[in-house]
Amino acid sequence: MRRLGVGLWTMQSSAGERAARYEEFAEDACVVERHGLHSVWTAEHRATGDGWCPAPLHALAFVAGRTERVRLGTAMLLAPQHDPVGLARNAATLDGLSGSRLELGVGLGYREEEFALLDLSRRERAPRMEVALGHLGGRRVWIGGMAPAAIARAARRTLPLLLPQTLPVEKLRAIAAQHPAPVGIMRDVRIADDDQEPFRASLRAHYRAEIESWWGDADVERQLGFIDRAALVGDAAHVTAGLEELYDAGASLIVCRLQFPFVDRATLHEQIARLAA
Amino acid sequence: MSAPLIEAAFALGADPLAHVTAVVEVGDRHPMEIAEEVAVVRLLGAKRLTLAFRPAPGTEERFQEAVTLVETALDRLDGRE
Repeated sequence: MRRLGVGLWTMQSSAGERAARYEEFAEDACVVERHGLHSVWTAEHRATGDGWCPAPLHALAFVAGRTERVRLGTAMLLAPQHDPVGLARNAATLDGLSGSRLELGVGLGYREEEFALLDLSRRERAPRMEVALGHLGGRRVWIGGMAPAAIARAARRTLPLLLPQTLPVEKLRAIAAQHPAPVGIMRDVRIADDDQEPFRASLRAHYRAEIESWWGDADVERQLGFIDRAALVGDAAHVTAGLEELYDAGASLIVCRLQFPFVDRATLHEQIARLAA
Repeated sequence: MSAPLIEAAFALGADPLAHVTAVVEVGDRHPMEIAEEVAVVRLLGAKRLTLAFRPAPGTEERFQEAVTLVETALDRLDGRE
């Protein structure tokens, strides 16, 4: 099975027009659906000051009301930061209303200030993830991350694994060969025949700002190197070859990140059309 | 049991003209988690959404306190604290 999803609507905005970001997400999801792609994906963060969506299942419920077929994914929902009973209830309600279209991806979360906002500690995140997965029961859940503990957690429960956009293809191949359930991967993507450097510069600036504000003392240049090397940026033949390589390495789902705060919506819709072509 | 704010978000998306009422239980989850959900659903349909609170089972005696905590969390999200 080869499935192609589109991400990653975060609702980040410096303009203060936050309601508009959700309306645009629904409109963009309709475009993805019209082009027959598999899924749309959103993410969760809190305490960022730029409008990042803290309740992705509610954003997806809005999209579910506007769409009929496209699947609705989180990459990632930060499960340890939620009440496990409430999370299971929200997921079950959304899955029911949407006709079983929920693709629930969960991650541990890593920013201490997010846990603190909810009077939690980051140290609790692994046991809280186990509790959350227990409440989610037999629901199919994508486990996010590439750390050995995350891969082992997914393998223990025979759950699908959704790997981050920085993971090199050879590591994907090694993980997929061992994993007892489907494996997906994310990639930053731009399909165009013109000069790709302006996009790459914007991509680096976007992630540089994120890494510097979230990790502080992280090795920014090293991280940007991973991002730059893994991004699929080029003409249609180049991107198609890159996607084929990921499928051949064992991915059954590729979530292509076309949506960034620096990509205007006309370009986004054009990129969706080109990805589907 | 269903999740009223998920249902409200779905209804707001499904019908651009609908006015939706959500009755949200408070007292059994962190007030900030509830406030974040309320804040997002308000963004989805500010003028089309009516919210009401009720106590989660077993939390009736702390209902007013729970409502105040959620309202305080909403003010914090709105940058009014």
